[in-house]
Amino acid sequence: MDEIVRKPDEGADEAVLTRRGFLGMAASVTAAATATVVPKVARAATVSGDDRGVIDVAIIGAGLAGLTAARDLKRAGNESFVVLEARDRVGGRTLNHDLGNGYFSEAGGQWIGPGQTAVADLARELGVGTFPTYWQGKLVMLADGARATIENDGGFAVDPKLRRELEEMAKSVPTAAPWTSPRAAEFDAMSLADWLATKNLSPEDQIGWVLAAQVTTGAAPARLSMLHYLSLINSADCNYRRLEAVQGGAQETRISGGSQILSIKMAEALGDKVRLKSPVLRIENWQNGPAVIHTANGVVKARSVIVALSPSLCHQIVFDPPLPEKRREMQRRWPAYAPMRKTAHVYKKAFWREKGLSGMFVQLKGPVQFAFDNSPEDVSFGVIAAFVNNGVLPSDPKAAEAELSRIYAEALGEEAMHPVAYHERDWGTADRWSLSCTSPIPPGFLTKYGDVLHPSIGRLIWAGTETADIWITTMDGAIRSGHKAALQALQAASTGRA
Amino acid sequence: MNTVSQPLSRTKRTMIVSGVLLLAVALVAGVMYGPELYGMVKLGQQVDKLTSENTRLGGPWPRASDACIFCHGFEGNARAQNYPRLAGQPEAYLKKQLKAFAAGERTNATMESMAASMSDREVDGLAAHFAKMTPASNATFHADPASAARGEALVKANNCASCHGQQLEGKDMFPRLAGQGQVYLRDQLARFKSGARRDGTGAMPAVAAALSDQDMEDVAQFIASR
Repeated sequence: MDEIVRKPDEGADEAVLTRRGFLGMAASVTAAATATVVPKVARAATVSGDDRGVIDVAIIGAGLAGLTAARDLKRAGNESFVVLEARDRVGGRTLNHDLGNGYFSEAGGQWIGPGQTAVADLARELGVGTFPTYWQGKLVMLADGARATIENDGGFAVDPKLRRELEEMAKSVPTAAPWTSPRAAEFDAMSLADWLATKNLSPEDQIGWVLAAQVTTGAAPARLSMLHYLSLINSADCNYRRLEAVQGGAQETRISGGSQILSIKMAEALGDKVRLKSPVLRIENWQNGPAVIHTANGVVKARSVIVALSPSLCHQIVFDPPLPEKRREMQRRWPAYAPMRKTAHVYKKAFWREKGLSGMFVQLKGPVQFAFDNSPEDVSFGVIAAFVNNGVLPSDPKAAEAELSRIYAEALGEEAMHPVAYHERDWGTADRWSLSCTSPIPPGFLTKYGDVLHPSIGRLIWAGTETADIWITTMDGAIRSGHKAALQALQAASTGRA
Repeated sequence: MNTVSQPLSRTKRTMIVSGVLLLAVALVAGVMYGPELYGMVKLGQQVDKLTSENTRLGGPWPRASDACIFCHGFEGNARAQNYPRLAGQPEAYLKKQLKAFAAGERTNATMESMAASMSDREVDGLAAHFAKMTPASNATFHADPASAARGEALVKANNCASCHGQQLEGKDMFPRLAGQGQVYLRDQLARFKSGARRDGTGAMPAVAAALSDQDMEDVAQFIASR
């Protein structure tokens, strides 16, 4: 579903070349990995297909969590590791659409904000720049033929009284372990929808609350545990705006070169340690080690395994012997029901800015949940990206592009009818290596299964943004979880268990 | 992610309630004039219209069925071909599928965890809700006439109507097929054939076993355009 549809008058060669350039990069990583892995030279503590080789750490997943863990191991002087990635690319739930000439628009996670210091630090260390998300100008609302423009301050004003009520409750919900809150049972028994239902909200306020929670978690308030939502607010310093706003919030800042650049740069520095197209199918002897990891591309033996995957993806791996019942059930039930579909329309100019529009708009009862300006930093051209309802927009990309163009024209003006390129990705159907974007956790889940989310079992160390101590569900959380997993693996290596 | 600003959120709420307040707020905001003001009023009217329509169809806000909109569309009428339409599906069939997903007997990463998160009461409520919705025609699908004609012959030869109804409208445990998403139909036939999707009666695996990839495409083309 990662489609690129070019207009006939566009430089087709250019599109092909830039795309090839991107794929070529991935291919060269693969080639490098293959070149060093295939010869069965038993370098000390390095693995290949060789039965004798046991490495310290196998890392599963070359997303932000897995690559951060690998980078930390390397920085600690440990070279006895490998990163196993199912896809032919790195980045996990971050993915750049290549717009050509070094420009990108993100198909997955893309924003960072105040307090997300792990990702900000990583970007600086990698020499990756950041720039402000564009929100200046009016917001447009569309509803069944009606259109209104609304002043916008880059934030969100839900009823301050209700916001403070949420923030107060969030103080008692530690983000790393919401199930330990003294009010955990109470909060986990209700959904965000249940709570909102008691507030007698006007239809307009309903829209605001729902939109906020939906774009952050990918699910409707009925499927969000209040305990989980409060833990997200707790993560944001118990400040609702810091979670949900652009200005002063977790959508404030973008990453130059697109968010996937962080993973690409980390992978480049790791060289042949990253093995692409190596989905892990089965892990044996994970209790006492060395764990035997069967991939579609050979076997790896390791003293520790960092599983840098969402619990839903862990569930796709066969563990022998089976994982403890509760861990297994947690993985099976882990919510994978936020498979967002995200699109990008590319325009010659960010024409809406000249009209005093922010490019942000919402549509009620239509394909578009939320659209926004995702133009490059230098604004040499314009991009409108959107979260769309997967099944409400036609599945055919050409039909989807045309339908969105008509909606954008209604919201932003006739110029929107003429995009120069269109990109989209439906994470639910593109492949099976993400399944879902961030995790919307339903009522009753965390109090029942939360306590098996973090603890290592045998030689297995769990990572991924879902296991972060701060900023769970974000890129920042993924990086934090990677740092923590590397420390755990180094500790295991230093105590010499084998 | 939030977008509605402080002054406007207040403005909007008040404006939609009454014209008098509306003018007052417009004066306070000091930015409303002509077309903008008209847009606000019109939008308020549409929001009210949609709100009462949604309440009539799905009960008071917040609705459990709102969680299904992303993939299955408004009122269960998906417009993408790769997500199933739920509108007008028999209640018994919907319940059975949700329970099968929750138990892991029918596999789909999104639906397994979604169904597992639901109480029996939620499952019953959603099944009853979507069974009541009126199925819309599959207007986003444009059949290839030759393929659909071959599909029609296969549908007759396999006597699909004996379980799924003369108009393929479904009944009890047998799903409505008419107007279903073409890609979804094709994929499900392939899954019955491969054994990835089971059917206690054994009927669907038997039917699908005899179909080639082209047959499945043709059958799906015909049914999707019903």
